Amino acid sequence: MKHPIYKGSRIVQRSLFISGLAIALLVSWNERGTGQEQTRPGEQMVAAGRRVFAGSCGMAYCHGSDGVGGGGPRLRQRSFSAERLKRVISEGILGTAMPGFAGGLKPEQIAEVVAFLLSVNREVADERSKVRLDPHLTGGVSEVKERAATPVSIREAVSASRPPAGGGLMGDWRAGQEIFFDAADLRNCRVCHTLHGRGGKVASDLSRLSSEPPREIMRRLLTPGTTHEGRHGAILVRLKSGERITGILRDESEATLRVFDTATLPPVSRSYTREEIAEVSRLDVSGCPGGYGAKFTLKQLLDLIAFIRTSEPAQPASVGSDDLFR
Amino acid sequence: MSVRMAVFIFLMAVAIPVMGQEVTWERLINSDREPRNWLSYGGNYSAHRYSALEQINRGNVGQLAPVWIFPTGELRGGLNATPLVADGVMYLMGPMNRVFALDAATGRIIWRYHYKLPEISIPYQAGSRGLAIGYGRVYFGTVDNHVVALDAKTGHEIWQVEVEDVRQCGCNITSAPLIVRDKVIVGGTGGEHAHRGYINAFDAKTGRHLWRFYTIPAPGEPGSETWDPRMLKYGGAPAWLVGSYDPDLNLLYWGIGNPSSDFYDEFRKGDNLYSNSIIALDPDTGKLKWHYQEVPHDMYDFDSAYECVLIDYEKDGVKRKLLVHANKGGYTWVLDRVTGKYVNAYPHVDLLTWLKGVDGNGRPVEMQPVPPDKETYVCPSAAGGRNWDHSSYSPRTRLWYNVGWEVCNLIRPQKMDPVEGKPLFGGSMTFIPPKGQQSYGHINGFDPLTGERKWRYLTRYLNVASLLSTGGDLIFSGDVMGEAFALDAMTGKKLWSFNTGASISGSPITYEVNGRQYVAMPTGMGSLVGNLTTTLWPESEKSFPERASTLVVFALPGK
Ligand code: HEC
Repeated sequence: MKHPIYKGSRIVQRSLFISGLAIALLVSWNERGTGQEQTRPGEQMVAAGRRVFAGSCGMAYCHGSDGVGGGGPRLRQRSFSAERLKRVISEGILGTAMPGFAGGLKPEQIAEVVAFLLSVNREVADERSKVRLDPHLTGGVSEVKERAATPVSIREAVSASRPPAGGGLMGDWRAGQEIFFDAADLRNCRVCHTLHGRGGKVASDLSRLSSEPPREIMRRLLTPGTTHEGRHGAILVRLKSGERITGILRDESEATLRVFDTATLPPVSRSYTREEIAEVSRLDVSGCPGGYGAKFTLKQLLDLIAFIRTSEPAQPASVGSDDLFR
Repeated sequence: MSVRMAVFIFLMAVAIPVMGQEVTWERLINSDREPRNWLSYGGNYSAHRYSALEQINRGNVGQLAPVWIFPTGELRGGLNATPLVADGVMYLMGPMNRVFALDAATGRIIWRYHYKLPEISIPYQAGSRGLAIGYGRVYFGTVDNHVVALDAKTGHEIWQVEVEDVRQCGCNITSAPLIVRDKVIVGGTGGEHAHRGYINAFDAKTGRHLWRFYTIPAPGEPGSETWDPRMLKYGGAPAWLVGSYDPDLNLLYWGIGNPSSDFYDEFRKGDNLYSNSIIALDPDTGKLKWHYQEVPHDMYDFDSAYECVLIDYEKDGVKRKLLVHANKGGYTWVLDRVTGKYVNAYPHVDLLTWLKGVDGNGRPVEMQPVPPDKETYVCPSAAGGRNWDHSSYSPRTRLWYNVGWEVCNLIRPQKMDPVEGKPLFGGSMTFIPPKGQQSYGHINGFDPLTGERKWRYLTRYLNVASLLSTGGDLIFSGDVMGEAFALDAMTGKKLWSFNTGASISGSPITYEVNGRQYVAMPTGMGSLVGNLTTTLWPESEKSFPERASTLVVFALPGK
């Protein structure tokens, strides 16, 4: 999966103050390690980490090459614990420009960057504070071979986990993911739906369909919004000014009502006071653009079903046209 | 005339200067007629950052003193903003998309709106450069990539729309939108991520999406042949600042940023249109009218994203409609803004290694190669011959005021594969002083067409704040050590300074309320290249200011 991270990087708040700079990164890092016996990371690993760092974090706008310069906090001559480094590099820091790299860098590469940063710290660190790499950081890899700083290319990743081809047409969950999240399509599914932890909150989280049989998912794809309406049902808001907005209810309070106007996509959240509204009525149509039977080929529908059923990239769902008749 | 009628006329006359008149499109495009206000980001739609106000002038600026200060209460992101002022009310965007309406004479809060940010890591910066006002609304983009409209009287939200999922694209909005008639037009960041840049237009009234112009053509479209097809989806070219607009030509001008990855270029052979270009769009449709590329196939991170300064230039009875544009690489291009044809180009810094000059069409000649996996010495640095902080044009002095930085870097490109929405810098750079000398900076007064320099003011460090020119023939700005200052617009001589206590990296404005002229100076470091000072001048660290996010407003005593 291309974007496995960003699940609530809840680390921060307290770490957000210091550094007199544009962006408060990596701040309350001047914690010591765990105090356990510490050993130096392998020189090879440090060298590999230096390259990964240069390609990802050494940008001028962040930490500069070798951890000095750049707009973010200086990383040299500071004492960070290995765990904290790993966590921040993987998950990023909430509310700052520090991104999470877990989707872009492999675990070994993150470990290499940690090793490299520990090494630049070590250059000036106090004699006694030798650094030790936690085996769980390196995923048990003690000797990391030199390699180019390349995350998995998209194409490689796609071909690596294609579900086994069966008799008829097979759905490919990655192709389904592409359709669902296609950045070039303003009408893509994610502008409204969440799936497997990512996406919009305008309509329902489709993850709840992931254990439904392919046939049932297909039925709902072809007639979306006829089974599950709930608070995401389509409404019509008629204003005293005469304007009419059809869309999906976002929320309402005593004083105001917010509706997702879906006349164009992405949906627009529009707020109205009670005084402005003449009438709100429920519509007997689906809030889902739909028409997917005509818009998509059978193969693409199978791709979408495969993606809906794949909650764990490690266990890709196998969905074939034959499943639709089961 | 009846008494009633007379009273009515009297009331109307009194009512004109009171607060809360609507800012119409007519007012926005004719803002030069009401210098007491600062209605749009660039001061006007030509990005002049000039005000005709002259109460504060060369004779009395020495007496300028602070009259109110306003802390935004949020330090993350400093204060980059250009405040706006309409009829006695100031609209200010603090970091993390905090918006305030303030009494422009006292700084008292009229309303506040704290945008609710989800739990994400913010790409680029938490600070924002500004907002737009019009039709009784306040418009802005958010650091999590939404566009929001508020009621200018109450601060209540009217609409908001997500442009693209910030977690998916690694892009967001850190600059002001531009209102063009019934539309709110906005660009976004993304030049250091695997992302395809664009400009979007929304209906100002409803927030409905109207058009999107991709700064990288789709496969098969004209210009797509200037790319390796692999990078059409991920080649960056963000429109991360704000454009200008010429109402007579109905053309929208926007500067486009660098291609990604910034340095490593093996998978983006070709000119990479429309990266590092000026584009002219029809604002009604979002269709391209013309483009001019300044730096084909950029390898140095030399954006063309900065402001497009529209100047009606007259000399020896010949009138020319020009577009003057400082590129990040230390060169300024001058175009005919009707046709997009090249007119002139000149350096605005002293040290340039990346090109030998330009040919008859303004195309750089003998661009310096930057081979992968080794260091190449390039001047100016990837932080720029200046950064985004804007220039200013005074129609009185007819000079264009622009900052310059003399800093170099060692660029080391490195292979990095694109992964949608993930950082894609493709190498690193080390900032160093120019060979055999100390780094330095300057502020200059240029003839905007010829580039002839009328004066230069040397700055000890690099100036990362925008310039403001006024009818009092003054240039206002501020430095990284916290000094707000004024220069003589004719000679560049320093006439006034005041230590605000915090690094200045935003955009000052001037305005008038009840006959008194004010100068508002945003303070608090909010620059992505803010660290340069202490990197290049380590001794500056001991007196380098603490973090802040405060607007400091000055006026003449007793006025
Ligand atoms: C404009 C917003 C919007 C977009 C875009 C959208 N949907 Fe929907 N969708 C809805 C709404 C509203 C419903 C009905 C209520 C609900 O389930 O949230 C719905 C329902 C569904 C359902 C039925 C859920 C159930 O439990 O029965 C499926 C399946 C579905 N959509 C799939 C898709 C797919 C696939 C796409 C993209 C190709 C998509 N939708 C795009 C708004 C949207």
